[in-house]
Amino acid sequence: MILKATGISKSFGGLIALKNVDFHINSGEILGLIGPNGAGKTTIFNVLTGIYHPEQGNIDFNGEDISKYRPFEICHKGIARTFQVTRAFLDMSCLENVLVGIIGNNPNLSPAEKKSEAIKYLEFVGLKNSVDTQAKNLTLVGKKRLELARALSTHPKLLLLDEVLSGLNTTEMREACDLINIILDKFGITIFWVEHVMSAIMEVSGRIIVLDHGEKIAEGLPKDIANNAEVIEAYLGESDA
Amino acid sequence: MNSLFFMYLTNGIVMGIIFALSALGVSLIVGIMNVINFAHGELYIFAGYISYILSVKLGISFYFAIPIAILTIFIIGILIEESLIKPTYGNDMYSLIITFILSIVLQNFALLVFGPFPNKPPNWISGATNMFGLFRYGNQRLVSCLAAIGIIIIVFLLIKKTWFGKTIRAVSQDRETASLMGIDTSKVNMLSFGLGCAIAGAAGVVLAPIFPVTPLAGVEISLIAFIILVIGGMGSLWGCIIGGLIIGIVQSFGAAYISSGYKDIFGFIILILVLFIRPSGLFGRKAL
Repeated sequence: MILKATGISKSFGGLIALKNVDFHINSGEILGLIGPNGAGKTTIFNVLTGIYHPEQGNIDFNGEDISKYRPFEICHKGIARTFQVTRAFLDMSCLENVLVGIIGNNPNLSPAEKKSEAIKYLEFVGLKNSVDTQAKNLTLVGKKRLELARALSTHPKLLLLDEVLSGLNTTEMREACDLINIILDKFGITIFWVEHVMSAIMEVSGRIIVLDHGEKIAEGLPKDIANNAEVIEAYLGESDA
Repeated sequence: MNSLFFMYLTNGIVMGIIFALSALGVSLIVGIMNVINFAHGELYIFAGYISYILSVKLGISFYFAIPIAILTIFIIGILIEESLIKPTYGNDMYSLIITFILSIVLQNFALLVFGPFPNKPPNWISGATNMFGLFRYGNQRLVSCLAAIGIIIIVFLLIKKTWFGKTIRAVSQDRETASLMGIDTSKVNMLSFGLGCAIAGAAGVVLAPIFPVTPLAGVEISLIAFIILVIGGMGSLWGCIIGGLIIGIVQSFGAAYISSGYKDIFGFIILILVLFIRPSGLFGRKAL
């Protein structure tokens, strides 16, 4: 087990975003996180990465409670993320974007080592020919690939993916899923994945947890989740029958 | 066209570059931290005083006095950030008020310690140079201008080429994402505030031999720096250079051909024009 969250609660004013949520992530798995809009999925990511501190509960990451740590410290411990709406540093080149992750986590490398490491990650995500392109000139897919390279450059043990597939066409989705499987196999990075594209998350995840109104309503294998009455109700509303 | 025209032009460019340098520090801090440092002008005169004390009272050569003065202001800047600015993160209005109060406190401190009289470190160089056979121009002004250009180039290289520069650009573009990439943003804030203050200090030591420092001299420098900041666009470094040159040249020609009594009004006229035509400044609000 790489991460174990116990009794996480977080509210914004009167709005309860997360209510006593428990979950764990096993080392080397792809854990899917689904739920209707406003269920608290992104809040979970923000709590795990230290953007918000939970009001209650603790987050055990490799035997250490990280619930009070600041974002850069959590990054140093080995959690990285990508964003639903991409947040590359738009006025910097792809190379510089990835270098920021390397500078933040491995400042002692020589300049040449930093650069070759950055290029290695850009090549891996398929941006070999865009090393000096300004991030703002990339396509949506390009920006998503860049975010992935930047996240990998921080040497994460756990990678949080926030709707990487949204806005991609079928071919691009296929490529993205392949890439994510390679990240798991080749780098041994555990993946925690929020996704709206059900077919993809059902196929790729080993396990899935479902959130609704800030509470965990189901957890299990993809095929069990697909047939879970509570999950169907959360997504489709209560049936009249 | 006569030689006087070229003299006014030269004077405008020299002053413009020095103005640009004094605005650069404010702009850098705004761009990275979204904090407007009203005490900028006072840090500028403090650097002037320090270089005056070191070179006149203690007899240290200006080769040493200059870096010591800049370094002192850098350290003072870091202390200000850690003690006064850090607690205001997340509320721009608090930092605005705090630096405004700080500027009043520092003015009165200077009045108390150094007295109301103008003080001036010795010129680095004496004499004047014949400019293309047209007119003679003071060597000290030329050297100060070259020093200012040198410092501006160093700042640009620092931001565009170094590792520290990459992290501060990342923080200025997206603070939260930078911290998620493992960048300690409070440390970056501390160092960039220090850097911004050090640039004010650099402008102070470069300018002190031309314009003697008085406790209130910083007010005018701050004012010009803020006009340049708005003309060029908040946080834009190129905006500082262009804005500085515009103000320098217009002031110089305005003082020469209209009236030197109205010298300060020309900057404000340009400011109003720019606000009418391009409210976000010539270069807009840009990332570093």
